[in-house]
Amino acid sequence: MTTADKEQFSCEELVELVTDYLEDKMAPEDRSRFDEHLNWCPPCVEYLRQMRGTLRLAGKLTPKDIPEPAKDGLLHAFRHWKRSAH
Amino acid sequence: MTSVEQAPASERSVGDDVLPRLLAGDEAAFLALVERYHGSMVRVARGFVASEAVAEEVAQEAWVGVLSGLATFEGRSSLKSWIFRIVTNCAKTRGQRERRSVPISALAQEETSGGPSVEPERFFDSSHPRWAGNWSVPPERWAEERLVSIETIEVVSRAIDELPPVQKQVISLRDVEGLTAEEACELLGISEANQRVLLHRARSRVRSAVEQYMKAGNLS
Amino acid sequence: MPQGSLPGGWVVPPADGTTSGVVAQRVQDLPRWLETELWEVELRGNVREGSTRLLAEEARLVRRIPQWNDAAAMKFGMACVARLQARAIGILEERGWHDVASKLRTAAPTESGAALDRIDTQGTEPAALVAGYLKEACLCVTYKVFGSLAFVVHVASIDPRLGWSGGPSERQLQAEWFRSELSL
Repeated sequence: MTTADKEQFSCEELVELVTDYLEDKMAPEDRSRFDEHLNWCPPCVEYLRQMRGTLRLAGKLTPKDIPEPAKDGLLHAFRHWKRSAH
Repeated sequence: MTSVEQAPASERSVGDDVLPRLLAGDEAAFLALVERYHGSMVRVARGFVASEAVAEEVAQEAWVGVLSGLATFEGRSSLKSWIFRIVTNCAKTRGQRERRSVPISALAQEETSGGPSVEPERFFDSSHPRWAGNWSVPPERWAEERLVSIETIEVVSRAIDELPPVQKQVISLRDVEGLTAEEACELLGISEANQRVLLHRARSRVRSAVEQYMKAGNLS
Repeated sequence: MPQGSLPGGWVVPPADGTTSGVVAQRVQDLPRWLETELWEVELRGNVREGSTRLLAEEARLVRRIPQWNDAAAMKFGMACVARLQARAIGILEERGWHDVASKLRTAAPTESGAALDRIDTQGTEPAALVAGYLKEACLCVTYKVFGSLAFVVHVASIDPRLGWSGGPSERQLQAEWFRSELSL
């Protein structure tokens, strides 16, 4: 990036702004600059896609296996609650 | 058109009828609810207490709290938000009782600092005559099929487990559970700006873990 | 979507977040926002003018501009490369690279690669810089990444070490291509 083109983010700057972008917490001019960068930079397009992909994958986490003694303890608590509530 | 990007946690939502079923004493419904939220509850509790074992205890304590409050749950918030409020309260109380040496806000502050999201070697430095600051080793495209595979989700899960405690809390609440930024900030007692930095750090680390996994796969 | 000659329905995005709205471009902005399709839109409500695009409360699609297609994008790209190549020839002559310059004079814009190989593009002297930019521009044509191409040629044109100044800017010339070639 030449010093003359300071109006554009560098890729190194952009990767630090991805979350602000996805959270829609950027000033309109900065957001515009971010979008403009994507128009000339396929690698950053892929990086954004990967960050989006990552957050979506986090939303698909499968339930953690709960250790049997803990599960037993919780069922015990549930049955106790059931009895005291009725 | 812009809107906040959130993970579609709805795919794993418990049924709308969970509350009446619980009140009717349906054990299967209770187990399903536990299975659904327990993991994140432990991850969130862990940020307030000193060990994984204590976090597990806190989560179990929280379930007892959920049951005792169930009959009077008014539905002013979602069941999910309410459950996470209970576990954070339990965890904070437990953390205070243990008299942690590091207050949460300080921990959060510490975790917001740190290195860049991508190693500097992946970009050209000022020695490049034209493109200092641009990718020198660009990210390789992730194949769509691998992106949705169970193995990749496992990689994400492990990476989240390995995050520093407050980053783990934030990504659990925001991306795993789909709570809003406002909800997450309120539960954790941190500012919106701090929360965003922590989310950024967490997501960057997890992305990096997935990238390494994808790279390893490409070699085989 | 537009039906026949009728415009499409109005789109009103929800007013959440700091930058909600529909983005649109003035003709002068188009070179920074190259896409596969180009549409004329009508805007309504409060329209904020950014430095390189507009942000409107409401918008609707009026008609597609079919003249913008892959072939047109290639024409646009070649025009950008041709401008860069012409400037490169000037610099190379100035710096004594006469045979490279004369090869460039006769080469089609994207066939300059071989001629430029003799110049080490690691350097920061004008000849090295312009050779580097031109090679990169040609790669962009090969990979049909015209947004990148327009950017490379723009960056080259404002690189202070190349000392080009005066006359309309590269971005203005790019916008002018849209005005004249697509009658916008």
